[in-house]
Amino acid sequence: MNIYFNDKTIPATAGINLTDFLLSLKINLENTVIELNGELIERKSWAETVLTDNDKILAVSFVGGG
Amino acid sequence: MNDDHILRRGLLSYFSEAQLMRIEACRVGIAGAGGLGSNCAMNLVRSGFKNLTVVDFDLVEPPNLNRQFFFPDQVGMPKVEALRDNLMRLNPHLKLKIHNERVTAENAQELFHGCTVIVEAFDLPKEKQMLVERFYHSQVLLIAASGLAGWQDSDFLVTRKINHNFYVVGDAESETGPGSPPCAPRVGIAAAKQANLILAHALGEL
Repeated sequence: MNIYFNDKTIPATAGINLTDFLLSLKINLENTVIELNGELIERKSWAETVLTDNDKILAVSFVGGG
Repeated sequence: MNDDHILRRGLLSYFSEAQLMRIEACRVGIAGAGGLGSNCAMNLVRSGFKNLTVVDFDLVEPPNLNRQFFFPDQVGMPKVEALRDNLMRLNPHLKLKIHNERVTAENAQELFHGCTVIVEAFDLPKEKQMLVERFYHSQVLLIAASGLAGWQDSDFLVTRKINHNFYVVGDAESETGPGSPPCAPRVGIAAAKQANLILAHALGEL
């Protein structure tokens, strides 16, 4: 199946959850906010969120400094 | 001579009374009073904002003085108290709420109750994540920052519009660390860009 991640198409294993998908892209889980199909998914719910074909993810990551 | 309203009188050289009233009506929450938060607050107060809520748990320390809006004689003070004193010098009529505590996922809504804009001005990325997650898709305009360390070309510091209520300022990459310290110019530019978005918002032009 395909996932649209920040406007790129990325092939993914059927049934993969959000946490594993983000880890496969080496995304730093602690620093990232995720919107899935227009809805915010809180970090605590990522592991139980199963992705489906053509899901659209917007990820915003933060680096330190302020 | 009563000089209480000197700043306001000066601002009326640039803004109409109606514009200034719009700016004054806006309550802005500032999460973190470090390099971003203290300088953003200073920019906002100079621009006429009066209603600010500032939250930080830290004390002013010598390494802060390279970029934060504090002075050597304020070392050891809670940042929110030092910032209040400095901002009140600019405008003694501020309606400033300060909270000397750490913002958490649990207390964030209550601390920033009544704010229509929130500035994410934290240092640690996991705290940035927490605050953004808390206010994402809320009615609040959220202005975050990411990537402002070092002294690379400051034109890389851009404003990204994520959605109509969420903007991120910075280059998204320059993290503070060895060889890449937070310095006054880039931190100040990022803070000023955050303040500029809020000014445009208050004037109905964002």
